[in-house]
Amino acid sequence: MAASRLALVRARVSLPVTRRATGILAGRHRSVLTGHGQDFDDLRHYEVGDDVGDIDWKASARAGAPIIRRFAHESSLTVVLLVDTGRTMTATAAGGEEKSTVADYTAAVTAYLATSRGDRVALLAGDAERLVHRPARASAGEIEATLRALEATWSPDAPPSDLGVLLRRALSTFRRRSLIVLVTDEAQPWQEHERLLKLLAVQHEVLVVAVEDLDPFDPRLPGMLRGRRGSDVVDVTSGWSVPRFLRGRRRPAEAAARETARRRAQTESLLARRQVRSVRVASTDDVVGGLVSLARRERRAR
Amino acid sequence: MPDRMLLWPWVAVALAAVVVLTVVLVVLLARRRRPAQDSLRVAHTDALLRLPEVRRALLGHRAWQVAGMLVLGLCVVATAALAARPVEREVTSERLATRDIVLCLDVSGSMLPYDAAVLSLYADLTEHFAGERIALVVFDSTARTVFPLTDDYTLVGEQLAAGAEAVGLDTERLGSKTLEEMSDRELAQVQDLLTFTAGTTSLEDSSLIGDGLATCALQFDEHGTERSRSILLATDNFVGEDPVYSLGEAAELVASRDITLYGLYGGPADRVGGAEESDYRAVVGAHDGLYFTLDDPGAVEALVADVQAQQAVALDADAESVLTDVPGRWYAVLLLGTGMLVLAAWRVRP
Repeated sequence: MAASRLALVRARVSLPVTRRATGILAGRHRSVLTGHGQDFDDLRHYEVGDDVGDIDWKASARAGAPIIRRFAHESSLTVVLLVDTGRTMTATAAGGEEKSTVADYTAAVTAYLATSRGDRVALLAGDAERLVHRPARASAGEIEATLRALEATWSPDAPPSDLGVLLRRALSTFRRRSLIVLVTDEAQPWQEHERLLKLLAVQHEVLVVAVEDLDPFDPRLPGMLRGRRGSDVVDVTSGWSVPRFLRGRRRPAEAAARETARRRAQTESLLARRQVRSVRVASTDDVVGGLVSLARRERRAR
Repeated sequence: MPDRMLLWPWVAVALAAVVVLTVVLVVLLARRRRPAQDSLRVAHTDALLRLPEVRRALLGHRAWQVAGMLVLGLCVVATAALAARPVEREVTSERLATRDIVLCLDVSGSMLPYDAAVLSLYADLTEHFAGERIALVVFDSTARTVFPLTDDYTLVGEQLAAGAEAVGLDTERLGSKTLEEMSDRELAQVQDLLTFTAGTTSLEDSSLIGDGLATCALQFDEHGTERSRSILLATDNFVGEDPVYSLGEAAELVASRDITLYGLYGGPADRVGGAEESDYRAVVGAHDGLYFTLDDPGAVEALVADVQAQQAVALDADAESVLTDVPGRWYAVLLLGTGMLVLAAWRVRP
């Protein structure tokens, strides 16, 4: 607790990686500033996947090929950490850590990247009953406090998740176009939130970082259980204790893997439809890589 | 008649109580156990739980659990049944075996023509007994024990049959022949008769009935034990000269030894009511013994009934029951159940 979260991230993430990951912010700034005529950066050829709205028609006419306009970075923009703090987030992630730890780390890395550019960081964390709001701040101390506030919300007895409340609140709270990093687990966002997500994606740049759930039939499970006093695997919502005999069974495990894959594909297609980029992370080790891959997709797609 | 019963039914009850108590305790403890503190928490398993493969695995597991419980219950029942010791109790008629009957047969010349009939009546009689010891004593002037008290009915049957054959020869016809005139077969018959009656004749006397009866009274052994003792005397009461015991004295001796005397008149029918027969009947009647003539059709039944009746009273206390464990099918059930229990336990192992 004593060490600064940002300092921990700095210690863990190398500079080149940081630069690559910062791309998520670069991309966001570009899109935010499109059409505002500020700090024109460069022109480049249109690539498949780029936003058609970015096309500079005059330049295209001159060049005889579609050209898009890019703008220089602008600092002092807002990164919103939109974090689901429901009970399921305190369960175990696929990598073996608690999902909340992964969420914390995601927030910390994002905040670190933002501070390294002088961006402001806001926090909106909540579930069905609680809501923690930290307004956008730029100073490292304030951001540190924001991260601590997020860390303090995790509780094993937390109310269930409610992404709808969170998205609605984000829509009403953040009027200026911002980069919204939604940290939740992979069961979300569900179809029911598609409309809200759509609205949010229109107004803001939305990234989704989904923390993967541990598959109770995962063959690595016995390894994770080693060293624990209990050997129960319990669902945090239903309290259902996953029977031991199911753990080694091939057929249920395969079926579970298929089901998980199906759900992921469904979620991904929903997000892609709404032009929301998303990445799944299994552990804190995946976070930086995940953000880098988000940044790459940004550059390619837009 | 063996009857089936549980020797220790309270063991089954106790076992059932222990099992029920254990089950209740385990259920209560399981209820009270708080959820594991250090369990691995996971989320969103409900969707996985709905998968048909998972449901099938759960159902199969539950089925094995239920089967295991049922088999366990069966094993408990079988164990309780075995622990209660199912036995077959056979009340052995020890009183039958405590009867001693001495068949006392007059083989004097006057009785010989009738002895075959008497012996066949004896044989009839022995067929009604089981476990009694029977002896056969033949006498004329002295007595010979053909066989002492025994419950070997094969031997008894053989000896009675052999005796009947030996005395069954036609004495009238053979008596008129000299040895030289006899055929080999007739010689053999004479030989048999002589063998059967051997040692019963002395040179001076014949038909010492009182002495014969007294000798019969000495056949009984095991004087220390309370046994039922009977003598079935068959004679025509044609007494020779100068017996040591008169019939009356011999009957006194018999009575003094707590021996029941049954009388069977074996002489010719036309002498019934004569002096000898009346004397005989009076002597037997004086000691409350049953008395029959040879042609009395109810003789055997009456004798058997009387012998069995008096001794049932005398020796009822000695009735002894033999217990035989009859686990029956419970062992098979327990064995099979245990095997199935192991299988079920292996299937539902965690």
